Amino acid sequence: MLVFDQVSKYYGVQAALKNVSVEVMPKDFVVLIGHTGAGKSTFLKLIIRDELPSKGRVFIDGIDTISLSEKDIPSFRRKIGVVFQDFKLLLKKTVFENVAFALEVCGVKGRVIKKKVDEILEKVALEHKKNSCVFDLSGGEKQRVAIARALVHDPILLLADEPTGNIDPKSSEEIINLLLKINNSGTTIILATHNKDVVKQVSGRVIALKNGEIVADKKNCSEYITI
Amino acid sequence: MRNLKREIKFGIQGIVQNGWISLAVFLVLSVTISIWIVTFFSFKIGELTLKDIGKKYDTEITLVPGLSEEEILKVENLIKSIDEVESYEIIPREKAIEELKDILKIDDEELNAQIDKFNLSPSFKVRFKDPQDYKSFFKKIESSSLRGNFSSLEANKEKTTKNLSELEKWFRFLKISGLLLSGFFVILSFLIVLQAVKTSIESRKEEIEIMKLVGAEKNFIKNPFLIEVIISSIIASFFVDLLFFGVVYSFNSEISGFISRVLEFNAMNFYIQNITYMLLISFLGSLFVTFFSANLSIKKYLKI
Repeated sequence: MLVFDQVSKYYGVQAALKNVSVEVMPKDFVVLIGHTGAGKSTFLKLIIRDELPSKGRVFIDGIDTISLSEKDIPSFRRKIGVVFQDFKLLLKKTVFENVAFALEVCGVKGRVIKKKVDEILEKVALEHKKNSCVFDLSGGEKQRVAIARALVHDPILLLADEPTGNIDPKSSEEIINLLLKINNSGTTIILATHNKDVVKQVSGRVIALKNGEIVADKKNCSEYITI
Repeated sequence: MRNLKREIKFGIQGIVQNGWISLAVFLVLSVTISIWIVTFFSFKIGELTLKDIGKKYDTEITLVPGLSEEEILKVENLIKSIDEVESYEIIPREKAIEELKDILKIDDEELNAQIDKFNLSPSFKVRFKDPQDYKSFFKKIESSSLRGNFSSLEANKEKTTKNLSELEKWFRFLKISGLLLSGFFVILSFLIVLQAVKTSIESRKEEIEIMKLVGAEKNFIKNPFLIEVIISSIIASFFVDLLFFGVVYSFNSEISGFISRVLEFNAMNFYIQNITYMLLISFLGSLFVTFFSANLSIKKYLKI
């Protein structure tokens, strides 16, 4: 599914990732932990091909991201869903419009959009809020809208960058449960966090990053690894 | 087609979203197009007026005194054969004397006393098809075998040159000032559209980021910004064209009356005759400016 083969990323002389090699299997749920500046965001940016590695190679579903042409990037990105701590939603639009937006800008037919969005909203239990303005939603609901939008293209991989960072503990638990449900239905998930409760709740594979290097990689881990 | 429809939809949303910036773009484009059209019309009217004045200008060609009828006829045939000549009139000596009497307001006795002071030989009053044709006309006269039958040819040529080149100077001034003013407004609107697209890109940073993330094609991200200013330019062109039609329709008699002091003119007819040019200037001109400035701005500020 995902292979990092001796990947390094430098910004000038500053190394964000150093010689990272990791393999994620399909249907895995990986929790990526590390302090601010540990390299988590760079790790995720390399996956969505927002950045290119300075050294080494990144393979997603067998595709070498370096070999992707500019023209191929949009269709590549549709294979990956991304969720952020700050939701990145269009606050003046409704829940439906926000999710539909991801399909609209990719040229999907109107009829298909309606059907698909209704389906996804049901999946994230937001069908009753379909016509509500995103601005009026709670943090947890906003994150569910973001997850719904990330799922509309049926991605093979879902990246979640601190998805519980801006929400209360109860909503946070709900979000993780939702991600676990999505994972159970076959989507590979990589979740970056420094929330100990999240690590405990997932009880999956944990990869710890420190100063751009992998310092721990444990399977079925329910304890936060002290870095 | 579906994508184009959506790009247009996003473009329109951008216009609404940008509010004051869109209004500023619309206003500057409207002023620019108006300047272009006013310049074009002024230039056209100026050109017609100057041509009219030029056409009404008669060049006097004086003959040497004492020419026989036969020789005068030869000269007439020569003038008639020159392509540049639109019309001519022979002024015989007798007519010249009558005209002189009228100008000086004197009687026959006084005239006879002064007649030797004036060169009252027969002459031709020549009108050219185009005022600028006088150059080739004089060239042909000077190189003809009848050159010796003309008197004060150099003085006649100089007088014509002086008067017509004055007109030419005004015509050139009109042309250059119109071009400079239009050029200034082209640059101004170019810069404003450039800035407006930049602001639009900045105000939709989030949206652009989301589009990138969800896998929107590059053109789908770029085109709405282009469409946004193109729509503004089309609306501005329509607005200005309608405004000009309204002004000409409502003030036809006033405009026509004002210009008719120097030129036989009907504003509505003139407007209808030149409507194609006006539409071309407003639509193509504004599209050209917005397309290039928006493209430049997108290239410079939209990082995708």
